[in-house]
Amino acid sequence: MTVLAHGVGARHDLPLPLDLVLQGAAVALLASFLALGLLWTTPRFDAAEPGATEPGATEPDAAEPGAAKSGAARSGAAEPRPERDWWPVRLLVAVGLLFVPAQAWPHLVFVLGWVGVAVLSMLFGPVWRVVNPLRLATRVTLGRTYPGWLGHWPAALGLLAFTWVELVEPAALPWFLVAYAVVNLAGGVVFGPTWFERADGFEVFSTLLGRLSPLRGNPFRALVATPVRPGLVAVVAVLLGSTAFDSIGSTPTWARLAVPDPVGLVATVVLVAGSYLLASRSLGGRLAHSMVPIIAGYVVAHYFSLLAVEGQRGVALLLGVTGFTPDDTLAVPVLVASVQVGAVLAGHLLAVVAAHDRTLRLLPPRQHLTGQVPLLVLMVGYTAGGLALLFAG
Amino acid sequence: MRTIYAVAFALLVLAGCAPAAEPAPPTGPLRLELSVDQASPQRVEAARGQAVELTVTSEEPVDVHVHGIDVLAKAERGKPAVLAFTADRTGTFDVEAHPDTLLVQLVVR
Repeated sequence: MTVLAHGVGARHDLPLPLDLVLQGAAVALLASFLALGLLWTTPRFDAAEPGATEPGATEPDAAEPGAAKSGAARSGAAEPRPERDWWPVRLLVAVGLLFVPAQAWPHLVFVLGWVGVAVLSMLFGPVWRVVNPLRLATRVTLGRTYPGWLGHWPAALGLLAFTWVELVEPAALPWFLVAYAVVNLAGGVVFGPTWFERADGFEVFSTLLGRLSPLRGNPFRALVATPVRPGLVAVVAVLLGSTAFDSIGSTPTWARLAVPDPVGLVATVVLVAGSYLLASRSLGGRLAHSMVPIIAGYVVAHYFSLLAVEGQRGVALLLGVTGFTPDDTLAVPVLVASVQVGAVLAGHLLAVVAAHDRTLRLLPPRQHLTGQVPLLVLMVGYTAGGLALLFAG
Repeated sequence: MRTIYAVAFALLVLAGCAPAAEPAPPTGPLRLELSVDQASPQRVEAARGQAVELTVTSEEPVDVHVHGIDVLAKAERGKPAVLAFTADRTGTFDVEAHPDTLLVQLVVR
């Protein structure tokens, strides 16, 4: 690892106790196959964009072909309403950023931005699209049509670049931020809001996690409504793979192997993508939404103590206080271990239910039971692997 | 549905019943000899409150640092760095020779 783990902070969590890891894995395995046998046998969750009943929150492109074909008619039926324009909030953020002290930027980006926005999104919905000051660019857009084949690929690349900065080369943060701003301003001016919805990695991440928000309707309906676009699986693989590599890369075993960190990061992402594509087979991206709870579980498990402890320092730095010592109370081992195991298992259970319901709709009835098994095995593998990584040295 | 919730809940409760490990009382100081040139990082357990003394040798002049504990010392040829401190916070702490050679990982419980 580099001078600063995560670019900020310096203390890692304690390794999880082995017995907790084994129990967690056993629970995941048992619950998954119980779910397969006990859960409903006809699909329950129609697609519904989160918050669609409130005025001004509907995504205009909810009627994606996959959902329509599979009979999720409600996604197309939602009346597209004009989106509420958040420009005053964005302007306020843009002006505020001018006053951020130089030494506060790493904490602002790696803790309050990357982790804070992720957690806020899980709770309240897609917050990044509301606060992202670069979205102001859409007010002067040329309004070109965003090419459909490009899908989420720019977002996947952007997220990979960001996780490289976060986990391998935090010193490159200023360059990344400049590049991110330039690319997204340009994209926003050329393509308008569609650019941000599909190509801005942070917004795609925040919107995906926002589907889990319990405040905006049934999270399972919101997950099913995830538009299946090219590059969606890549986004999921980058998010899952980078978090896994965060664990792998900070172990002494990894340091002894002396493999360059960028190779490890890309290899982990490729491994996640490959195993997912293998397990989901012909269904491909149409089950990718069921990975979102697993991603959310890992994000909470990995970053809980960072947010709880370094988040305080981030706020202090923003206010110009430099010699601040954060309070460690929330990072007591027993609380951290409980949050980690709880988050990973909760994410796993939500993922299993989401995938179960979706496969009932996508597969012919005689394959309902057998067709789910590969993905179920993969999810158990991810969960057991994720827990093991929290233990591994 | 209710069965599933009950089963899931029971499993989660079961998972929460891991016996808590008794923290070992701090014994003598933990002394480690480390080399920057032949770094072979491992995890080393320490008890909270235990004194730690690290001696780090290096052929090249280098800064040695314990992350999260903020002790820093210089090592150079024939003159090892000595870092002495008390492990007073729990967590996993990297001992590194800058810029990024991991020497040992202290696990303080």
